[in-house]
Amino acid sequence: MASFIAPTPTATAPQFSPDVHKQYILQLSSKLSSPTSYEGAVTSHLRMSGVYWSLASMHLMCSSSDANELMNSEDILKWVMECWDEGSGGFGGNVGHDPHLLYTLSALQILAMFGKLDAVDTEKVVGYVKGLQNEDGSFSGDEHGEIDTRFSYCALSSLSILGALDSVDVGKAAEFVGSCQNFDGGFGCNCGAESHAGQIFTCVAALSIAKRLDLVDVDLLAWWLAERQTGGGGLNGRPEKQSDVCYSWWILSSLEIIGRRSWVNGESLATFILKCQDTDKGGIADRPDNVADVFHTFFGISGLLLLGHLKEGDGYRQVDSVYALPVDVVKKLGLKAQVIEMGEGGGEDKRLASYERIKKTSA
Amino acid sequence: MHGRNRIEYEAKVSNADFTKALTKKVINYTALVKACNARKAKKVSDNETLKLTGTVLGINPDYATLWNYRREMIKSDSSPGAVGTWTTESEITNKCLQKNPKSYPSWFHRKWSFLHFVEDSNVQEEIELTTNFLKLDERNFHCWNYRRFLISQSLSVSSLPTDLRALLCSSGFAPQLSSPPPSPPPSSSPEILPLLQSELNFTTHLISSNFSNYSAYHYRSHLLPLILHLQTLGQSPAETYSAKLSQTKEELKLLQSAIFTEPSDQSSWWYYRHLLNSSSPPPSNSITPEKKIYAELLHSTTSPLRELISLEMSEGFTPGSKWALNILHYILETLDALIGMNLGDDADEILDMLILSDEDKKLRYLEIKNEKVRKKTEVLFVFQERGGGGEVFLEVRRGRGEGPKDKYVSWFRIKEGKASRLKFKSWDKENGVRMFETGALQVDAEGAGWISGEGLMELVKRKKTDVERDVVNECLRVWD
Repeated sequence: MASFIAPTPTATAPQFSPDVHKQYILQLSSKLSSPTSYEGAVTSHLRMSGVYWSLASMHLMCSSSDANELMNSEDILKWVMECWDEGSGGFGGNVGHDPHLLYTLSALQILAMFGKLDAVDTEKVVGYVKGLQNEDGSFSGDEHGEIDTRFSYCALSSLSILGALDSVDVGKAAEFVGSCQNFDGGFGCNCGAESHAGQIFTCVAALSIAKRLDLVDVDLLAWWLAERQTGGGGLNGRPEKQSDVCYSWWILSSLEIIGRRSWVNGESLATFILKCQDTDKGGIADRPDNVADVFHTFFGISGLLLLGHLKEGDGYRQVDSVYALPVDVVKKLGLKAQVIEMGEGGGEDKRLASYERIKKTSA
Repeated sequence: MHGRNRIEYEAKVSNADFTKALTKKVINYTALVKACNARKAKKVSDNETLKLTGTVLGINPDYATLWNYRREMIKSDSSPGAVGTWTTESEITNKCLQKNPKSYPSWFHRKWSFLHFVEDSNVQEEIELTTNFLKLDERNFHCWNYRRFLISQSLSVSSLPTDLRALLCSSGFAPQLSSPPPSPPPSSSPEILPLLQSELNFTTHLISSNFSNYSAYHYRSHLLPLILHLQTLGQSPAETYSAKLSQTKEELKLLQSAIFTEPSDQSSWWYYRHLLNSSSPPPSNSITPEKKIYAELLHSTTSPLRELISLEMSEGFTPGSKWALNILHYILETLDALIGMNLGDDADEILDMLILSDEDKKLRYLEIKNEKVRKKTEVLFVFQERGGGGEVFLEVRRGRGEGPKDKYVSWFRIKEGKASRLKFKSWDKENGVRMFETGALQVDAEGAGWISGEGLMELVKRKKTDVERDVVNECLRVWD
């Protein structure tokens, strides 16, 4: 349903309720690990990512030490290491689950927030990631060979976090991602696949880490992403699809990397995200009045931070749009990336100040 | 994780019978998972285990580790009648995809099984499967990707000569998995063009029944150039371009109906813009015949667009008018740049209208506007207060044209980020002194200085490229 965007009065939007969201996150672990939890059972395979979303959400709402204390970092750390497969060097989604790039990245992101990357056998993990790069520069998710640009992001981000980006052919990795660019400036899962905001984030962020944002048609992509905003203020992932809170992250972070976050109406988007909160039980849902989950909670909070609706001075921490981690964690690790010079009227952004800045490639 | 209404959900879980049944389901599921894992730990490989994993996967298609286990079992024994066949694997993936048509591991396993049991799998049947899944959801990109994979199998892409293989891969017809087993060499040379044409017709059929099929347009965006390339192999650049334009003209006919019937649907507009953009002629410094025909084509689209705009605008600033205005702006600027058709002012007017009416995108339109001005803008000289920081004096040119010189060239003084225009009075070329209303700028072999009622300010010459974009914007802003 395409309708013209009317300015939404912010007076009707609920406030952001950090306390109830913190409660939601804290009770998640016991809720999901209960033997009678259906949701817990059927999401068991992706628990590593679930823990990352929970931990990161908490970290964005608290100081690092508070977050780690509240979240029982000792127990989590132990569990994360139990998910490590010594044979291959990769991490699985849960104990007894096969290693995969997706969960290897999530594990590293968790350890980064704990400041415990030294718990990892860096050489083995790097070896795992390196072994998954294919001749054309793409990455398989695991030894079974599925190729997807999401895995390019997982690989490059993992290696960057471990300080070993050069162990793979970064140039070819970037070329492969570039080959997945479509007529609309967007990117898909692999070459020939339709543009999708989620894939666009993984590709843009991968190119940012690889320092090849010159491959992006900034004008076209930023426009396409901006046009994901629907009448209700929310963002969808592709034309004619419904808006969903998670796109607040995939799209805002992509736009931020290419310097054009101001091309969406921040106010109406913030209102949409706020309306997706479950202010009773906590958490954020994909859409207003739907059941919350930790995935949308993390992306909703991150979206509000990127919009500047939640500010550092009020007890929140800035989120990094390339690594999806608190900015202070990224800075402490000295992680590098590249961004495009801000568009007109974009103002200054200190979050990305330490990244290499390049001009957009002109058509 | 997505899309459950809270009130409905809460009503459900507060129902004792529902919760009881769900708990039973969970306990049963957990027991099945435990049983699978016990066998996996012992590396058991038999049909009973295969079936067990199938029961779990039928409940939870995203349990990737169990798909892995299935593959391990299948690979461990390739004797006929051993664990797993094309029948078992197509059945289980079909069941899982009915339950969750967006399950990544289920689609991957089907693809893997297709290749592993290539003697038994049937590519036509599989293509038919994708057609059916697309009937349920024409935007399912997993399904589209699998279809493209199947086409690449039909074409035996991996057995084709290098150039052709590279071309097809880059058009989206790659195997999509690492180290696929080599395809058996085709019995006859595969009919590439007819198959691609048939795929094109498939998308035409989809678009004709629903203009909102972005996925179909996307597929076309890859098919068309590939088909054109194969049709014009060995032809001259002129012949190739002529064929390209014919193809574009045909496409435009299809799009014209889409745009006029549903102008608020953005799918057709993105594709429309792409069609025009990708049909541009080879670059050249002169106005070639190709440029002329392309310009004619572009120009021919403008009247229908203007018609649509007035129709739409009669109802106010609708989404349809937004898209049409954006595309018309793009066309007019392209025409202007191409052969100097002097439609620049027209385009500027449209942009100003968009700035006022499409407020959310204001910054995008402003960027386009400012970029256009800046393209014709040049910093000629820049001087900075000696000692760093401080004030800047610069001379800026913004385009060329008729009228008084100071419409196009002017000096500015930048103080604390704010620009003010210096009103020029005279230039004593011999002594290197430019007189302005508020002071004089002296430039000679020894250096430079600004002389005014405040005294002498020593200046140093700086490089033009040192001037930030925002400083230039400031000057342009205060010019008039």
